[in-house]
Amino acid sequence: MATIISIHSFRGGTGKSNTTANITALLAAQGYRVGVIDTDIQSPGIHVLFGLDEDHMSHSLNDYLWGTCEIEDAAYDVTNEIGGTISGKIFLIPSSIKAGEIARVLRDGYDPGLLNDGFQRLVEALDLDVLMIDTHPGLNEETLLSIAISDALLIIMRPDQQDYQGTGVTVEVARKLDVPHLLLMVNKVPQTYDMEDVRQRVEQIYNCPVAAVIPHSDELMALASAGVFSLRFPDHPVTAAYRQVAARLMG
Amino acid sequence: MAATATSRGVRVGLVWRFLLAALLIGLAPLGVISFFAINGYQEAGDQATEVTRATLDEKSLDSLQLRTVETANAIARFLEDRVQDARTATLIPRDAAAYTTFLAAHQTEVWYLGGTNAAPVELREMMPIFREIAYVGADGRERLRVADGKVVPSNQLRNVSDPANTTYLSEDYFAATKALDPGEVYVSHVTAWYVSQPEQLGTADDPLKAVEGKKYEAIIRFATPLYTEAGAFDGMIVLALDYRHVMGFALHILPTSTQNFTVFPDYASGNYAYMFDNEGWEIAHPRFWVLRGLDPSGQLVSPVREEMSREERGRHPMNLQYGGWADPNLPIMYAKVMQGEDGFVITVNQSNAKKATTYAPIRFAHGVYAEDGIFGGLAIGAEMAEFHQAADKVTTSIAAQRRSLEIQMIGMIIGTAVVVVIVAVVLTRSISAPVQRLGEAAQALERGEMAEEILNELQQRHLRDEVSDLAAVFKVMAEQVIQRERSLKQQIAALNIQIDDQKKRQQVESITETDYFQSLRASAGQMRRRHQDRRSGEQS
Repeated sequence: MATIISIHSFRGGTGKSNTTANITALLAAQGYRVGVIDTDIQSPGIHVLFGLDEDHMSHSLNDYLWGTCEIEDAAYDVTNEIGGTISGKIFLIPSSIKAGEIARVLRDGYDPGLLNDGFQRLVEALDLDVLMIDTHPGLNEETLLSIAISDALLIIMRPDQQDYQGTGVTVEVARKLDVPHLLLMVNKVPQTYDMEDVRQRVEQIYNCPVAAVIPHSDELMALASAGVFSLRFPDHPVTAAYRQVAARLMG
Repeated sequence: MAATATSRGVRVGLVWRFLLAALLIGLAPLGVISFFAINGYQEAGDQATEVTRATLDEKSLDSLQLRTVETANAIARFLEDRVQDARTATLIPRDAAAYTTFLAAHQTEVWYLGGTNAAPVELREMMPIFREIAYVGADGRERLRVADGKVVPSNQLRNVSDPANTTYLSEDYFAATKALDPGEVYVSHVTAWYVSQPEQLGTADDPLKAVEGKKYEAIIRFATPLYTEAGAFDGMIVLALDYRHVMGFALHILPTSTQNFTVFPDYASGNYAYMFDNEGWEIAHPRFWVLRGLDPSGQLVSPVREEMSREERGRHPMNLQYGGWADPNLPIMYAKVMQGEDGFVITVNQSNAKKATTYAPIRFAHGVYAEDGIFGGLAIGAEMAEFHQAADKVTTSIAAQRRSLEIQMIGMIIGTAVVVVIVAVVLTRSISAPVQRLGEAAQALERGEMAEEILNELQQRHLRDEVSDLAAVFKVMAEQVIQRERSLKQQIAALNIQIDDQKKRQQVESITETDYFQSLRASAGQMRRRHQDRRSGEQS
């Protein structure tokens, strides 16, 4: 039984990719075989966190969508690239960062159905325990698809007026798609806030459980793009929060 | 800032405080030093002047005294020489040629003013000392007389045994000389017709300008008795000394000038000499009407007295014995001289000017002076103010230097004040300007703004100081304050998560009503199940 987890946010810049990487790493450290697929084709970036060099990226999700390769050909084992002791496995299916590829997706679009097929094949081919889907912000067809097939959905928001409305819409849409585990995470919360108060208010407003409230941390910001935080600082409170999120997503 | 408006007390800016302090520190000592310097200078100058003045007075007085004594002695010597001349005259042949030669042979210089009142001319001329020489027989009849270089005709020769026949109608030299022993010489008093004030001055108002007026033409008789070898009285030789030669000793003295001598003294100046004889009569003086003289009958004109009118006083000579009313020193001076003493008296005139008068006796013991041994006295008067002309020059120079010192001091004070003001203003600006800027930054902070530009500027000044440090601290503080404020504002926003439900419903519907969503929803459960079925299958 593979668990499919989608990480989503209505707007960009919420720390979605970062959260995905941390949860992936924590699950892999627990012994799971975890696949991470970057469906944010328009603005890819998660590969950086997993230390995947762009020059070694011979195939990508894009190639699969154009039918030039099998999806497992675009999967890279990055277990040993991120440091730390990981008993499981991490496979990364990146999106192409080539400008031409990005432009082609924007111009021609692609069949979302291919994604679903790809997900299934990936789980089978790599014998995955968990498939993490790093989605594109907003609610387009492939995002809706990702949500629809997910066993768990983590919606990340920031305490920012611009996030409130869109998050509300996303939560509502996810409910209509009967996602079994729907969780919210409030990220980048200024430290002057009372974290528990924020959790209660957000749960009350969206009528949805909040998996974690993560304060804005200068350390986190400084290390965010340099590697996976939770592996570097396993005893940090933020790492504990991620661990809790991972556990709740796994149900 | 609001705080300023509510604070009590007077607001005195930094500039003014600094200025006040700097001026006080800079100028007060300078002022005090200047005051003492100028005062001390003045005091030292005054003392120097006083000492100089006193010294000069003393020295001048000493020198004047010495001159008086010396001149008196010179007069005495001159008279003594004439005594010798009188003796010599007994030895020369008693003829006209020898007598004429005798008169011409004895000459000295006479100084006098000639020309007119309007254009006086100073003249110096060699003149015979004696105006007359006569041989008088034992009976009193003149045998031979040469007067003013001319032999008197025999019909004009007189019998001088009777004083009424003498030149001045009252001369008793014949009797007096006849009574003398051989070798002794008779010397008469100064004998002249009296010259009154109107006669001397004429139209002039001052003796110095009365060149054309009447002169005092006096003589002194020198007579030596002649005796035969048997010892019988044999007549006498009589000489008439031209008194101008004696009077000149006194009149030409100029006591307070470096020139020392004058042709005719300026009575008005107070600096002149005069003489008096053993009877107290004045016999040398620029004012001739005070001099001993005879009236037309040959009687002495009585001395001037206090009760006389101004006009009358111009017609009577001065006798020191009776002149106490005019100056109490006169009788005293006469008495001292007759005791053979020299000295000085200091008198103060009505305009408070001091006048010193030094006097000395003229020792001479012949003829009418034999009994006293004193011919008379010489007195030199001098205005003391003129003694210390040198000291006054010192005073003037000190005053000038003090003025220049004052000007320098005032200049220095003004200069220092200007420099102090400039320095204080610049210094204060350098302190108050950044403080003011910091105040502006604080005001900005009050409005919730970060005055980054001002704070950076203050921090990065070329000359760093406490204000720079303060600015740095202030900047950090301001950042924290603003950060905190911003956080507080956000907290308030977070407590108010506003979601427009109607809009949300519309947005959700716009998604859920699409065919894609409907089909997705329909197949979603199936897709999930398929995954799970597969997994279950694998596991089983």
